[in-house]
Amino acid sequence: MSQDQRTESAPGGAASEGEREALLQIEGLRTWFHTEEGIAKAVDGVTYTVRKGETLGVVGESGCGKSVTALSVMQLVPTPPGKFEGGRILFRGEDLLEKDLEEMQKIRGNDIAMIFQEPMSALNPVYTVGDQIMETVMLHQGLDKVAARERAIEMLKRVGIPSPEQRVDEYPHQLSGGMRQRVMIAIAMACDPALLIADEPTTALDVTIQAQILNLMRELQEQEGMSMLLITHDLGVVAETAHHVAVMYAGKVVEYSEVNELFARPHHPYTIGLFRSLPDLASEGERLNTIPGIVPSAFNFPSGCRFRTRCPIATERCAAEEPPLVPLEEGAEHTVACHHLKEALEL
Amino acid sequence: MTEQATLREEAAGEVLLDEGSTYSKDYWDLVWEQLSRRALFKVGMGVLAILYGLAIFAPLIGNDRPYKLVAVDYGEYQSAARGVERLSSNALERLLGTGPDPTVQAAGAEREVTAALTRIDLMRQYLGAEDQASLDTFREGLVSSYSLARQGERIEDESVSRALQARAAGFATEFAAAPLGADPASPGKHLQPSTRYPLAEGLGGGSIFFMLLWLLLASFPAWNRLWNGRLGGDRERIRDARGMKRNLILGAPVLAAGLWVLLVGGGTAAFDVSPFKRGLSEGSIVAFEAPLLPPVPLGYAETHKEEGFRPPTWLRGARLDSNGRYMEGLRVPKADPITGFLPPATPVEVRFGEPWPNAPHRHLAGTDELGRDFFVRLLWGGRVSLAVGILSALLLTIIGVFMGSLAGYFGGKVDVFIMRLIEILQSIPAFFLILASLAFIDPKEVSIPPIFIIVVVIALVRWTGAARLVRGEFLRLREEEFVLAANALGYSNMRTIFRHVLPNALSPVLVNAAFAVASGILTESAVSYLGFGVQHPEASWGSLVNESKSPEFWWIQVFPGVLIFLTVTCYNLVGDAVRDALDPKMKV
Repeated sequence: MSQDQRTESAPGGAASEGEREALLQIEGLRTWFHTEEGIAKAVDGVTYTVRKGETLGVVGESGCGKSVTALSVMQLVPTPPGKFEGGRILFRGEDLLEKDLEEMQKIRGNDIAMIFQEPMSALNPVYTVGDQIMETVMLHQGLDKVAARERAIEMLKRVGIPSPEQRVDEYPHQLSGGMRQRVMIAIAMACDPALLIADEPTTALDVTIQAQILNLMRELQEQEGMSMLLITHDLGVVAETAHHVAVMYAGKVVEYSEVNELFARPHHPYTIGLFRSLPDLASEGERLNTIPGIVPSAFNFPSGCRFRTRCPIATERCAAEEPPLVPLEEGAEHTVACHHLKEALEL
Repeated sequence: MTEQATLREEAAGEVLLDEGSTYSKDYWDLVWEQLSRRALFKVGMGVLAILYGLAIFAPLIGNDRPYKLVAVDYGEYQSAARGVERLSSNALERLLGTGPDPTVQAAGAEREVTAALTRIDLMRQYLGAEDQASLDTFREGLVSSYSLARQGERIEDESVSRALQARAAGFATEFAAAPLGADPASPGKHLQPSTRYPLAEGLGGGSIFFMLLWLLLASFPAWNRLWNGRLGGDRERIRDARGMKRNLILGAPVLAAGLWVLLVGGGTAAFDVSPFKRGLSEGSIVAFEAPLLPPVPLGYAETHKEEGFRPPTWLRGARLDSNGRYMEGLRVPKADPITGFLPPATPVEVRFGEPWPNAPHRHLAGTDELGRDFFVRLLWGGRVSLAVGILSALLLTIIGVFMGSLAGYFGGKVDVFIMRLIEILQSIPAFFLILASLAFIDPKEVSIPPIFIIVVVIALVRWTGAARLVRGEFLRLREEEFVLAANALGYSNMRTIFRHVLPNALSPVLVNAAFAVASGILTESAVSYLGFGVQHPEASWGSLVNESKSPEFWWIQVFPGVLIFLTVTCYNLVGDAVRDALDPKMKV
């Protein structure tokens, strides 16, 4: 993916409109799992903000806590063994962690909706897709059956499913993977949520369908003025869809920035490593670059900077002292957690 | 890139459109297809349908009550007249008395007045217009005296009340019936026949519901084909019509039963022993038209003591002579070697409408010790056995599914608690637990019928299997993403469990339920065989086996035994077929 294309396709207008109001603010969230083998600190001090009408892309390797953060927002982390050890999740200024189950059930699906990675298993096989859309609008918006059915057909049409009047009575197994993901989006969007959490929405789809789904999500987001939290490990997806990016590593955010800024000037060694391991059209036929080592176990993170075990520029300071997430310069939006910014830029 | 994607999207959209026009079978289409391929499933369902049909229609097949009776019941009329005399005299005695408070007197006479009024109504139906008018004046007199006293007023008019009292004292004489065919000028009332439907009087709303339900289900293959034919074989419309069919099958019987209870009142008479056949034989009931009797005009509790332990009458060895002695085979009585006398015997009593003593269809399955027709008892016994089977399976499945769902969905402490409970229950031999529980319940002290006690006890002991199955399914399904998705849509736990997870977990439960019916029938049979089940004169197949243990009376053990075997086998066949059909791996 070349620099020019990215600038074109990324919805970069956000920065020029100035700071938008924050919809979801996660501050120092800690979600730990207390298991028999010990404490897994899956999310350990995550801070990021999703602004109104904007998309925040969260990237990182498998097991870095992206999904657990999202599930924490929905309070769908199984407790026990999960436990919130600290931090706040402010949604419209209210702390979701302080809400009881009943209040959360009103928010889930209605104000915050979520779509999942596997469209094959995220739809209930025994109900028609119409029933599944109808159920959520009947529950949250109190529509009657007839109105709910109309809404279901309208939603199917909006997500680009052909002949929605017939599809509404079909079962999930009668639909292809891309269609099912569209149905998932239709269900999630049926109640006009303020925030849509998409947990790797395109990972299980083939590449052409991925592009369709991403376009669809971007269109819908722009039409509805909805905010989106897009969790992915695919930097290309982020470049196309997100306004801001948070890069997570080992339960922490290591870099947060506006999307064009990050793609132009990544600062954290981990982010740089990610970019370098992308396949490049120019270097066809060569071995791909990788980041050496593996993600440390959540049971036993290294002291200090958690990336130091894989970092080419790690020093003793990195082991002794955990780098805070600080702005690059005074007042900048771009924040990085690294002691050696200068050395990193030379990588 | 965006343009490319749009192009691709359009191309994909066309492909999808094509896909949409072809029909794909849904789950139940596939299950049905699988089932209709299995011959054993059809045989099993056919036999079960016949057995259930016989049980449901037992009151219409084997009964001592006529369908229709146009007759005068002299006995009933006379005893009603005597009853009115006694009751109204006593009531008027109280009402006209000079106690301090008339309302107390009225309260004392209340039951007598009501009883007298019902008897007057009964008499009224046999009387001509003139006599009815005369009866009505008496009725009015009684009612007004009673209502005056109730309002606290004293009956002041001496002459009227004395006349009423005098008439009450001579009531039975005044309304005595003239014998049938007596000279019209002769004294006494000449009674007219009234039309009754004695069998229908005993049918409750429940019976009507099940009869219609059975008819609709048994004829389902026929009318379903007709209906689908009229829809032109259009798959979409056939699928849409499913809801309507289901509503018809369940709705029509409910409606019919409701109407029946509303219009007829339904189910007031008991089916044990009715007075009609005896009255017709003795002549106290005089029929004006030939009474319409069921095909087997014998009640399940009707005894023929002279015919005790008679083999099925289509056998040569069952033939009796006019004295009631066997004529052929092993049962021919032998004369006492010393005195030369034959053992005493009683000629067979042939009641109204019954076949002759040696007719081959008199007792199709022989009789029991008291000469009750065994065929009719088998019919009625099937009602209990099959009902116990179905109800216990239903109840244990409900309990099992509920407990299993909670354990599987919530896991943790709930799971541990429920699983330990299941293990404790399963460590006790189920049959002895059932016997022990029944031994502590005195059927005379508990107001619910004993078959429901058996059903409840079986369900409370046997739910563990279903619970384990459901728990296992839940543990598997809990990891599925649609459960998380349901939570993410803000559905409550109960909605997620019962609306989203449970329908996906039901297949193994369904199969388990089919086998549970079979084991419920066996358990009831065993319990009844040991004498803890239904009590005389009611029967179940298990209790019928217990009527005799002697091989000399082989029909007592063979017929109910064969029926139990047949039912259990058929349920197992059906259960097997359903298990295979529901197994996703079997689907092609």
